[in-house]
Amino acid sequence: MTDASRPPLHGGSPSNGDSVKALDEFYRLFFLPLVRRAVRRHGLTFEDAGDIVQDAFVLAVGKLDPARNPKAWLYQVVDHLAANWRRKAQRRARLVATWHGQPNTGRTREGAIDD
Amino acid sequence: MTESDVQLCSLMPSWVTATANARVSVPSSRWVRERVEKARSSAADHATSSAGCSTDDLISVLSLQSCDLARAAGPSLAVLEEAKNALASMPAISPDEFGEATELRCRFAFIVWRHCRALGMARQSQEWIRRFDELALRWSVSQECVSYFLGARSWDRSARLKSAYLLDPESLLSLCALAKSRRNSVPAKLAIELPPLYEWVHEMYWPSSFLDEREYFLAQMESSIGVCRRWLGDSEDALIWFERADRRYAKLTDGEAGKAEVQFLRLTAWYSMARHREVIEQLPSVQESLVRLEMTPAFLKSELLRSSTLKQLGRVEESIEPLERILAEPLLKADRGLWALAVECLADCYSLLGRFEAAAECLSAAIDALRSQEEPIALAFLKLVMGENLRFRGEMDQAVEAYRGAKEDYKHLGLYTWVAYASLLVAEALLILGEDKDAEAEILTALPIIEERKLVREGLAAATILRESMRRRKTDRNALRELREHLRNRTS
Repeated sequence: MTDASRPPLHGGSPSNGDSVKALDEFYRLFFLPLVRRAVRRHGLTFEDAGDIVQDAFVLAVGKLDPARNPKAWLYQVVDHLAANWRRKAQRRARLVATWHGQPNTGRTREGAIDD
Repeated sequence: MTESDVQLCSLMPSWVTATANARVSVPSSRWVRERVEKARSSAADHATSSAGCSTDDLISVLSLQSCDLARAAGPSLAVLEEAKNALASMPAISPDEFGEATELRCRFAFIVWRHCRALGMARQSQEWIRRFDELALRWSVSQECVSYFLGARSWDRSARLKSAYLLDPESLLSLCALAKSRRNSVPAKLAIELPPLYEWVHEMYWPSSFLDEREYFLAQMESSIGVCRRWLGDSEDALIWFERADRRYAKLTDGEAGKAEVQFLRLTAWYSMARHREVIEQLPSVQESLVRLEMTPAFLKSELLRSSTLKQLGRVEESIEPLERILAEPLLKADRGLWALAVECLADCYSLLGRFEAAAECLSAAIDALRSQEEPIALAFLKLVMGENLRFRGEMDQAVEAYRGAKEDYKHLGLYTWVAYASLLVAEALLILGEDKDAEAEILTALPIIEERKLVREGLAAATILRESMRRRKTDRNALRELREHLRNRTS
C-alpha cells in the first residue's frame, strides 16, 4: 500500500463527515491524476509533484474559469509549474556541482533527470 | 461543462482551505520505484504484478515506468519490449476520469513506435504509428490540451507553452495525429492553425530529437498543410507542400509509407487541377506501393480517386465498379465520413446515367450514415449531389434549396472554390426557373471569388464573357455552363 491510500489530509480539520468525504473524492479524482501526470510528463518525484499540484490549486482558486475547460487549464498550469521547478532544480544542481568542483550529472532527486 | 468539472470548480476553495496547514499525502516514490523494478524483473507483466494493487497504485506504477522508458536516450530493443509488454498486460482501468489509461497506452505506443523506427523496423513502426494515432484521438484531458493548444490563437500561445507542446515529441506526434484527423473535415481552420506551429518547429533548435524524429514531424505537418491547401482550392501550393514532405520522407529511416502517402496526395492535387489523364496514368504505380506496404485505408481512398477521375473523364460506367467494390469493404464502413463520400460519388454516377432511383437510395443511405457524425464536408457534398439528382429529375425548386444548403455549408467551412461552384449551380437552376434577377445575384457573388482567388485560370475567358453579358443584362448561359464545368473539374 502506498501513502495514497491513507486519508489525504494530515493535520487538517474538516468540519464534518460530508465535507471529508467530498474532499477525499476531490483528492482521488483531481489531485492524484494531476500528480501522476506531473510524474509521467516531467519526471518529478511524487513528493515534488504533490507540492506543485498543490501550488496549482492555490493559483486556480482565483483564476479557474468553469466555462473554459477547467481540467485542461489545470493540466497546463501544472505543466508550467513543473517545467519551472525542473529548470530551478537543474540550475541548483549545476551550482552545487560548481561549488564542489564536481561535474554536473544532471540528476536531481530520486532519479529524476533534467532535460 | 461536465458534472466533474462543476465538482472540480466548486470544491477547489474548500480543498485549498482544508489543506492550508497540511501535508497532502502522495504515493511514496520509493514504494512506486520498487514496484516498477519488480514489474521490470517479471517481464513487466502488470496483470500479475498488479494483483492486490489499487487502481491508483497501478496507475502510479505505470506512470513512473512510462516516464523511465520515454527518457531512454537511444534505440533499445529492451525498452521496446518492456513498453510493448506493459501495454499488452495493462488491465482495464475504470472509471478513468482524466483518461489516464488512454494517456498511458498512448505513451507506451509512442515509445514502441520510436524504438521500432530507430531500430530500422519500418513495417512495425508503421503499425505502431497507426495504433498511436488511434489512441491519440481518444478522449483524455491530455488530448483535450493538445486540441486546445492547436485551436488557440497564435498570440495566445506563449513561447513557454509552445516549448511544452512542440518540443515534446509525444505531444507533437499527438498534434500531428489530430491534424491528420481534421484536415479533411475542417481544412480552412487547420490551414490557419497549423502553419505557425510548423514554422516554429522548423526554425527551432531541437535539443531532444530522437534520431530523425524532427524530420518525421515536419513531413507529417507538411502533408497536412498540403491537404488543407488543396481543399481551399490552391492545388499549386498544395503540390509545393507535398514536394517538401516527399523530400523529407525520402531521407527518413522509415519514410517509405509516408512517401507512398504523399505520392497519393500529389495525385489528388493533380485531380483538383483537372490533370485527370495524368492521374489515371500514375495511379497504378502508387496503388502498387500502397498494397505492398499494406496501407489499406489509403488504398481505398485511391480507389475513390480512380472512380472520381474516370467520372470526370466521362467514363461513368467504368467508375461505378471500383466504388461498389470499396463500399463493401468493412474498413471503409468503419470510416463513416469516407464511406458517405463514396456513396455520394456513386449517387452522382447513377444520376449522370439517369438511374435516379438508385441514386436516391444511395443518398438516403448517406444521410443515415452522416446523421450522427461530425463530417461537415461529406454533409455539404451530400447536399450538392442531392441538388444534382433533383435537378436531373426536373425538381428545380428543391434542387435550388439543396444547392443553397451546400453553399452555406461550404461558406461556413471556408471552402471558397466550392462556394463559387455551388453559387453557379444555384444560378443555373434559377435561370431555368425564369428567376433571372436572383440568378444574377448568385453569379455576382461567385465571380469575385473566382477572379480574386484565380480559381480557374482556364475559365478566365468564360468568366469575362459572363461578366460582360451581365452588364448587358442578358446572362450568357453558355459562358455560365462553361465556367461551372471548369469549377466542377476542380471540385467534385
